Amino acid sequence: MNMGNGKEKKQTNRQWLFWLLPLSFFVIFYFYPLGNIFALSFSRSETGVLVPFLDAIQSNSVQNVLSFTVWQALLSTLLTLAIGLPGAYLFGRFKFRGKNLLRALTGVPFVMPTLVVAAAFNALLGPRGWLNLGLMDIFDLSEPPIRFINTLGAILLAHVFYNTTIVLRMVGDFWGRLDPKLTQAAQTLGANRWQSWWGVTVPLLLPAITAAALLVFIFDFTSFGVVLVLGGPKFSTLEVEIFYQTISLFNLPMAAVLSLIQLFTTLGLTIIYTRLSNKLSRPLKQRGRKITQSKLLGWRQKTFGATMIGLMVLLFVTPLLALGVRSFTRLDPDKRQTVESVQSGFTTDFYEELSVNSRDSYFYAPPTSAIQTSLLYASATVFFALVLGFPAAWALARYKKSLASRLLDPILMLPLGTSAVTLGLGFIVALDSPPLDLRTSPLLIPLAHTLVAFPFVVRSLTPALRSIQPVLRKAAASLGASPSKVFKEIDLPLIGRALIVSATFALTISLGEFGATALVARPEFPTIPVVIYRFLSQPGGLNYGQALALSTILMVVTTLGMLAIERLRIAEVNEF
Amino acid sequence: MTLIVSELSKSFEDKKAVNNVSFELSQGEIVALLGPSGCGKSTLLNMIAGLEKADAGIIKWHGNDLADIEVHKRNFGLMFQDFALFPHKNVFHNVAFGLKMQDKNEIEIKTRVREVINLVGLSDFETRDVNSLSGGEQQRVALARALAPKPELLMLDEPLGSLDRALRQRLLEELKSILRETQQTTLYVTHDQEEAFALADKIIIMDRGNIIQIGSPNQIYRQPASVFVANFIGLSNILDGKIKGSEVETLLGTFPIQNRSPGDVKVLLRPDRVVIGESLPFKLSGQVIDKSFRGENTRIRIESQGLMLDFSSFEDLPNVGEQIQISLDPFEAFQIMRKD
Repeated sequence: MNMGNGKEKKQTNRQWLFWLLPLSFFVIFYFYPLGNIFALSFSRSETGVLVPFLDAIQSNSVQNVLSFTVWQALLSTLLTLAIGLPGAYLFGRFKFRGKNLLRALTGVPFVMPTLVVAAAFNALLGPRGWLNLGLMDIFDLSEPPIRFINTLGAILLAHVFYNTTIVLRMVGDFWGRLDPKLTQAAQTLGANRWQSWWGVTVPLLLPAITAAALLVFIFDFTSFGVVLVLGGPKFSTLEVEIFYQTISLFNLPMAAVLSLIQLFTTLGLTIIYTRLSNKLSRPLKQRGRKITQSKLLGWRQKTFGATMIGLMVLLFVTPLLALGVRSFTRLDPDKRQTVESVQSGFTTDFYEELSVNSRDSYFYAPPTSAIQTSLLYASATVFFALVLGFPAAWALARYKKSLASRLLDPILMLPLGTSAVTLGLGFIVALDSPPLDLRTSPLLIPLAHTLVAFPFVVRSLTPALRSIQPVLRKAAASLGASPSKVFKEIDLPLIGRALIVSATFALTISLGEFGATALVARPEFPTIPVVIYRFLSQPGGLNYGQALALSTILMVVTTLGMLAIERLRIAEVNEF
Repeated sequence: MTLIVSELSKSFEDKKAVNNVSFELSQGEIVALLGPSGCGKSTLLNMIAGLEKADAGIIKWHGNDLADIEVHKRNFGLMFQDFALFPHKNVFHNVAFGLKMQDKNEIEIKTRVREVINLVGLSDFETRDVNSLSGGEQQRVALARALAPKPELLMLDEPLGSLDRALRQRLLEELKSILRETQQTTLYVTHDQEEAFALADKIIIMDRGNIIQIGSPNQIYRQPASVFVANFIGLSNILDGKIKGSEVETLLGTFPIQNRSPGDVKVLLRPDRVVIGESLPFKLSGQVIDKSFRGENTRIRIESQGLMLDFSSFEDLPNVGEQIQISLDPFEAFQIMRKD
């Protein structure tokens, strides 16, 4: 007994070895800057720490922002589920031609930078978008008939576009492994479709649905770029308000209060989520796709399949396609004349124009250099995120029940709910004086990106590591494999897929991150999203065209980056 | 007849899973569908349950065609191979599920659930989480769940497949007494001939989608219809033979037989009709190649005239490498089978 306890103690002590690196990183680059900016913010307040909170809570405008943030997040989540759940059913239970392609395409929006998504919707539904141009052409209208940009609908649609893939993947994968025999058992016991659906399928899917819904809600709740660009000045979420308060009004105490409200809301949701998922999840036998999936048979299933496929193509593929096509299309700039004069044709002007510094701006950056900067930052982010995320995931997987794991698990998720603007500002404030003078260091941005990517890396690696049965490691050891060989031959191949997913997350997050980068980036070395935003915030068709062109470039770079990582093939990779 | 299956066929992507199968089942009868894995027996079961649609053929229940009757309206119980217990419900609610679907009132449900839970010997388990049960306990819950709504036909798909030998033996006995006690009409799918022999009134042997033989356990053991059946039920001494008049020529020698039409045949040498020593008319000698102790008896492998023959005996046997004398009565020990 004693010996066992002693050994266990030694084991749990060893976990700190794994935590050393990730925790130091968290303390230096998360808690220190965040604490700094909060301290600074409240020191500016002449009324102490508490009064800004009371002011904020009593302020009408803050209440409005807060209620709108919750309201739009709730609506977006419900809409996302309304599209995502039938889609998850289609992906989970059926096989059809082109399924893998469609699945991949639905995932593309998620890794697209917010600015690209905004630009894509602009290209499709904006005043100069395809739909309006077409309608104006057909019905001889002089004004765009669809007013989509700067409406709540635009925000909701963009959120659905963005996050549906979370539901499709989390619920769809779960559904695809759910034993069909359970519903069959209910049917042989006399349950009709409806009864077996509500009595068996829904309760079993609930953990996956809750998990997906909560994640979607957090993303919608902290939404920034979509609201800023597609919502316009009328709409403001917490994150957008933090941005305004910080940048435009320089009201740091208010910004800090809002950041804290957002931070604790997401922390609360994360804790509820972990509690719920522990309570709801049940050990389930997982089934291979061969057993769980069938072809679409009969007119009912075929109609359902065709409708869902059509809807998904319309929702997830057309906006990005519209963006690409629009960036190569010239429109007659003079639209006050007759409709006939709106002529379109193929052009590469917008792309050529990108490398011309037309306004002789000191901060001008040619697209190639912006792409280079973005790719460099992204590679550094992938490296940092994996080096720091892996030991953390390892410790969480190995010492699942230890106090450290239970405490640190939710804390690692904090960056997800932290205002990127606040964090960016914290970086500027805290890391500009010795011993940590990183203000001019090129590492500053990758480090900020790593913080945002960290939760994703840990979330995808931990379950993969946990799912490796310890007996496999023992079997390898008994066959003469040293610990490092065991890691190389057993762990690495089995988590290969998760490693790739993590690296992809890190890459795409870095390529698309805008909030923190906008604050931290040195003006002479902007990343692609920063340049896109510069174009979008200037008027005129040429600037708009250039924004679309650069967005298309970012879309292509992101996709190529993802493909490159897939190609790396860290050991033999299988999907399970 | 209660259940009539006629000329039933089902293919999966050009592979015939069930091929032109016909059989019948009467009230209170226990029928075992016996065959190797992949022979189509589970598909057949699923079609009868209504979970799978037949490509061709008719299933009739008390004279009514079942084709358009949905699964949940058939009132057939199906116990799944790995039980398919609802992981989100405890023992009581698993067992009560079927009764709830029949809109029984709470008192009726409680009484019936208690009754079947007692029947399977799980009286104290009502509130237990099914995920915490052992394999044997889960098996009983699954049986109780299938029995609770009093199904007119109970179908069991490899119900003892995943259990260890000792537990399987015990549960087999219990299952038998429960089914007999309730006079339950039962269709029992298994790949284990011991289970089929112990439980069934009638055995249907299937291979690659076809029914090979239907008969009582005794008939099947005494008169296996083909080499496949003989091998499947553990009779492995099969020789090539040629019939000439009232004799059959084999590598072991020529034996008198009852009249048969001439030609090439397979000859089964029944191990239970062979004795050690020289007491019977036809004598053979051979060398012991292998000997393995099996508890209640001992199995030996003998090489004789270049053929390998397996026997088991309760007696003391010579050791490996030694010579052995055996003898037999050709009319009892040899059985002519069709070549398949």
